[in-house]
Amino acid sequence: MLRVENLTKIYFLSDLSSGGGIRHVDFNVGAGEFYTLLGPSGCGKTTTLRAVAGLEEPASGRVTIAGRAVFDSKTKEFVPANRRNIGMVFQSYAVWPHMTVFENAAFPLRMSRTRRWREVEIGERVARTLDIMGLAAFASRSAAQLSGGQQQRLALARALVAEPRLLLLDEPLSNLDALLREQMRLELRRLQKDVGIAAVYVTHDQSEALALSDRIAVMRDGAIVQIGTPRQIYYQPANEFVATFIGRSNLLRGHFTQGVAPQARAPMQTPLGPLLCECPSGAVAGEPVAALIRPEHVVLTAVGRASDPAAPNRFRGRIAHVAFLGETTECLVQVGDGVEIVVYSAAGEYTLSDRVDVFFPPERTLALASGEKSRVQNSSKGNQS
Amino acid sequence: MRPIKTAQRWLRTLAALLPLVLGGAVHAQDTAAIEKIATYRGPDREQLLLDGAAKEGQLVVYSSMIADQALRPILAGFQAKYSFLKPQYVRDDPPQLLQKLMAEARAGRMVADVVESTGLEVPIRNAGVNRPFWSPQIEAYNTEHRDPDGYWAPTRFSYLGACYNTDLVKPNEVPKVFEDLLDPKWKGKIAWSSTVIGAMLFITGVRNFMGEEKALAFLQKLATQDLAAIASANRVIVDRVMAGEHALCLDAFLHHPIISARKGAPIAPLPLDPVLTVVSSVMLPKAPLHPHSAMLFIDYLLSVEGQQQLSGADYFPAHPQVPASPDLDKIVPSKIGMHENFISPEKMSAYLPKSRELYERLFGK
Amino acid sequence: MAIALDDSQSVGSRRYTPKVTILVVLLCLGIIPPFLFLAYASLHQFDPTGAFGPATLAHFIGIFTSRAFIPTLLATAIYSLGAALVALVIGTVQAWLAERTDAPLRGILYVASAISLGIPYVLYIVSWLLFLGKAGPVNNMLRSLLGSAGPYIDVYSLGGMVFVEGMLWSPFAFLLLSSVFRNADAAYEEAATMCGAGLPATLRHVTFAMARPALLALALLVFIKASESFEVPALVGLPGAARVLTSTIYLRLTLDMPPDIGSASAFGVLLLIIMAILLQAYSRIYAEGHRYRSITGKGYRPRVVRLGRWRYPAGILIGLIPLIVVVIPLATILWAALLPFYQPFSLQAVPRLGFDNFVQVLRSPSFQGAIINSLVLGAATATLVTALSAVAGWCVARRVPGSRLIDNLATLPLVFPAIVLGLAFLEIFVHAGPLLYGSLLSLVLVSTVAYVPYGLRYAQLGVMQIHPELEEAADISGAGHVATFVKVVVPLLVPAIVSCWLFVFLLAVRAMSMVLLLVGPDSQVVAVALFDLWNNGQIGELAALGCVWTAIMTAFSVAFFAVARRYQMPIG
Repeated sequence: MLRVENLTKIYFLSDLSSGGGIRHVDFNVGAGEFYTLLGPSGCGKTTTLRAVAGLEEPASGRVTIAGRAVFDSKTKEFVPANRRNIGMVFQSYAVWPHMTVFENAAFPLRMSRTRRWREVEIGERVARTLDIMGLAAFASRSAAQLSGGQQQRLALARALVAEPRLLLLDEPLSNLDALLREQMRLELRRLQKDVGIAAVYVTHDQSEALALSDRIAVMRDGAIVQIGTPRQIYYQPANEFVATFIGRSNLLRGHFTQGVAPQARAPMQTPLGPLLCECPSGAVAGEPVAALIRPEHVVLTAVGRASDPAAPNRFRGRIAHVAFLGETTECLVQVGDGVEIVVYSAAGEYTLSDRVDVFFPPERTLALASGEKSRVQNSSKGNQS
Repeated sequence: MRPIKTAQRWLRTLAALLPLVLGGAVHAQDTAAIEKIATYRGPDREQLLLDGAAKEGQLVVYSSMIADQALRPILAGFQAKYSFLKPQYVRDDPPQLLQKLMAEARAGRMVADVVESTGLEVPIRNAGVNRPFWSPQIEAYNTEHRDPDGYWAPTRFSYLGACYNTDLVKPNEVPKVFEDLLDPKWKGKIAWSSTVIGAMLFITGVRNFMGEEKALAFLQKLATQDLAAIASANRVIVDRVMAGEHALCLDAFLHHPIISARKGAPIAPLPLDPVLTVVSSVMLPKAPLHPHSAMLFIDYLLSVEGQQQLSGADYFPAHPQVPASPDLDKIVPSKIGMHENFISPEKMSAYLPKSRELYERLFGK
Repeated sequence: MAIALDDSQSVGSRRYTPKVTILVVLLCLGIIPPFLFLAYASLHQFDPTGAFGPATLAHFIGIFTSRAFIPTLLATAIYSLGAALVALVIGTVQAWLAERTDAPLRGILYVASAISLGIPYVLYIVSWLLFLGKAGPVNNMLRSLLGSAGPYIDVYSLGGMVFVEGMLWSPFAFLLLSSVFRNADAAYEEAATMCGAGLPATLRHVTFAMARPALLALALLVFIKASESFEVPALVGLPGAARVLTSTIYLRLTLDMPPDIGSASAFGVLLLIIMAILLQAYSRIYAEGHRYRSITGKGYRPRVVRLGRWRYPAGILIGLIPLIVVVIPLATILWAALLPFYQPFSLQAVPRLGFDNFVQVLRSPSFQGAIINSLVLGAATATLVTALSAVAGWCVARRVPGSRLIDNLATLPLVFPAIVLGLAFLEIFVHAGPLLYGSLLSLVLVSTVAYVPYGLRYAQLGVMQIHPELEEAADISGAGHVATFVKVVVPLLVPAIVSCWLFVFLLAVRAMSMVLLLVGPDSQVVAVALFDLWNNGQIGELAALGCVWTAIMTAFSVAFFAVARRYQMPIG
């Protein structure tokens, strides 16, 4: 449905130095697919979305919607935003306060260039759409009187009423409180599947991305670093950044003494000693890499009760901190020389200063390309904005 | 409670001080002394005035004469004679002058030392603003032009009449008598000033020479001519006629068009028989700050020298021995075979209420 | 006498602090007497000396039964409405181009507005009268194109009044509207674009539809200012036959001998009532306008509309507007100032150009005196108003007991048209005695009363930007009330105080109709001097004095602009 090829747009600061932007962004969205652009603020996801919408004009590249090029820097093609037949939900909803709910939703139909809508038809279509959104009772009310959640639904109704080919959503849930956000998440997903429209969703909230998307494109510093399904992104992050941005992670830095073939398992030299890891894309000897293991995959056992004491990836540790989180308990375990590992365990199982056995299953320990930092990092959930 | 009580005490103190601050104005000289200066006829009058004026050193003249042409040269001439005096002037139209004078009198702070204007004689006296005075120069003037009570002395005459734009009115179309003004071809082309010295004076003049009945008939017909009534001074109307906004105006001071025509403007005076004639006069406020200087100026203005200054400014001197500029001959009634329709200040005042009523009734306000 | 230190401000306490009491007293002293005197004068006869006579309703009856009453009301309404429309259209176009497009030369619009704040009203009006007069260049051109019998522009008419007054207020409209457009959330317009709307539809349904309350409020404000204005009705309307309410008041005082103070006062009372009603309507519309503020508060910076092909026409339009609103009047005045006596523009007159008028003006002691008086008037008024408003604004913003009373009192002068305030104070000063009447002090008093509402607004805004906790911290640290005010509030209020001072200064030196009836020979000010010069036909001197004064004032207005923009204070 949507093809984005080699999209580039650079912003220049007043002193003509680069102020960010996007470079060579490439991705496709299939019909009916829920596609998310995920990344920290400033990564270029919103710029990409607005370029697809036509609200920004990139310097180079091509954007094709339903087989028709709406932007092509080679042929100088640029279809203005109001003719691309795209529905868009803005972060602030941009629901017009001086119009009624009905008029807000009816607006795209009134502006339609492809078809002259009669008043009766407008009435029917708008009523149906508002009904789906649960706003039918508010139709004649001023839009200024709606609550945050209702406005969001109205924005959605307005975006969908003209049955566009593509739906763009710019962090639509970020202004809602936590509970509403969860509810709306479900509704959004269900709606998108019911209507069957291709959607591009922008967010910095990785749990949202994981829950909603068919595929995710992780972006950083103006470029896409990985595209994949939620499971792929989570279990097979391409590099350290993706690993730490999505979900919680433990990273141990090290290197391989010998070259490793792709998909092979090999021991990595780490501050804890040799660690057996899987290398999905292989590795070069001596190249700095990081071993990733998710907190929920680390196995803790009481000292002495381990099943196979001589197995690789087994270490001695001591509980440094216990935090009860409700659905799980998070333990900070001190292993080896100043290395702290985050582990999820059952409630009440361990207390401070307990000695434990820490096991990293090799099939869950991934070797990732690294590069920047030189200390182990336990990342928090990738929710920084 | 205490803050309010404190405030109340402050207020009471303030209130006690207020009359001291506001009420007590020190008058420069008391009334009796000024009366003496104003009406003194002794042989040492000149010396008395000179001595007093030397101490005062200043003079403020309120006048409605044209500033550049008349007021400035006259004051310059005066200062040349009495170099120790620094004269200042305030130039404004008669109604504004009256408003200022009345306010000053009521406030107890007379800034004007001398007033020279047209049409103010009766209202200013009724307002109690001025006092009688005597100058030896006044004896040279015709008695019918003087005020028997001595409240004003004549300085200049003004002849009023119509004027027309020479580009818009061809020589053969020019009205020759009052009745010509009623010709339908002038409908919507005539303007006059809706002031006391404008339209109402015109009406007074008409009533004076036609008699009440004929005047009423004339004015009723004139009202059908859609006159443009402009609330500005007569001179402004002349300017508008000059600029071509109107073809004719009815109440010009006839020397204005002549002065402008001399500079090349397309305007000409149109005296109609009988020519409305009024007198302007000089008056002395009750409590001027510089009474000696004021009297010296009055003497100067009424003297031959002062009157010659007026003549040089294209005014008509009231002094019988000082002739007006020959350029103005064509509007002097006696020189063009017309009569004077002289309206004295008293008559102007007496006729005003009914003239105003006629104006409002027939011409709207 | 000791002032009680225990000035508690507990909620529900009806005790007013000394600060509040003194403030209320001062405000009452300044603001209540004009009402009383005006009302009294309107209901009493006057004898020929100008003293009060017996009570009467004749003045009011005379007004309502006069044939000219309805036409005058109508003329006032048409004039005000027309001026509001002109100012609104010009201001809106300018504001939209400046804030929401990428049209070139946008900065010129701000420069032009800054300059126009420094031009005295009389000078501005006179320049248009010269430019559009029968002998002016426009009519000359019409005559050469259409022949001398053809139609021409008569500026001395209701239409001329509408035009000049609209021109006068368009910079003000531009400044107010540009802040409206600047603060608009671009997301609303982008949403319309994504819904398929092109530029015209977006402008119609979103940009201007959402700005409508602000536009309406502005139009009403200009309507109010026009209906209480005097300079244009006097200079442009009176020489034509156009009359509105304010010029009628002036006529009552100057047409009749002796002046009809009773009738003028009755008109004044009538105008007061009309103004009060209009101001009520305005404050209601203004409050409603705040409904449409961005609901979530978050938003992108306003997106600039790319004009593309239309950039150059827009640039031309932008260049034209200041040309018409500022350059033509200034050029006309400069031309008039350089000629010994006024002549329409022609190449033959060029050899006669010279600086004689400037020399005369700068050398003349009376003009020097007028300039000094104006500067003193402006500075004294600004200082008094700022001092009063700083305290009053603090009381109102912090809602101390009595703040509502202070707010109402301090805003009351707004109902007075300038000329009515001048008339009311004329009566007061005449009765107050010789020390006040005709003195510069009297002018300072009147304009202080008149401009307190404006000062209050700045001070209020400034205080609201200071978090109360800053003062509470001083309080807990042991500082008394006065010390807190002087050491904490005032330093933080400096941007508001400076903006307020400059703004009131600029207003006070422009005031003409307020002080017209009150000036004496030693309290002459530039604004009135210009008016007198015009009435006396002394155009060259008027233009020269005007040029000199505008130059001085532009320095102040540019300073004001710089401060206001730097500290995000409102302009006007």
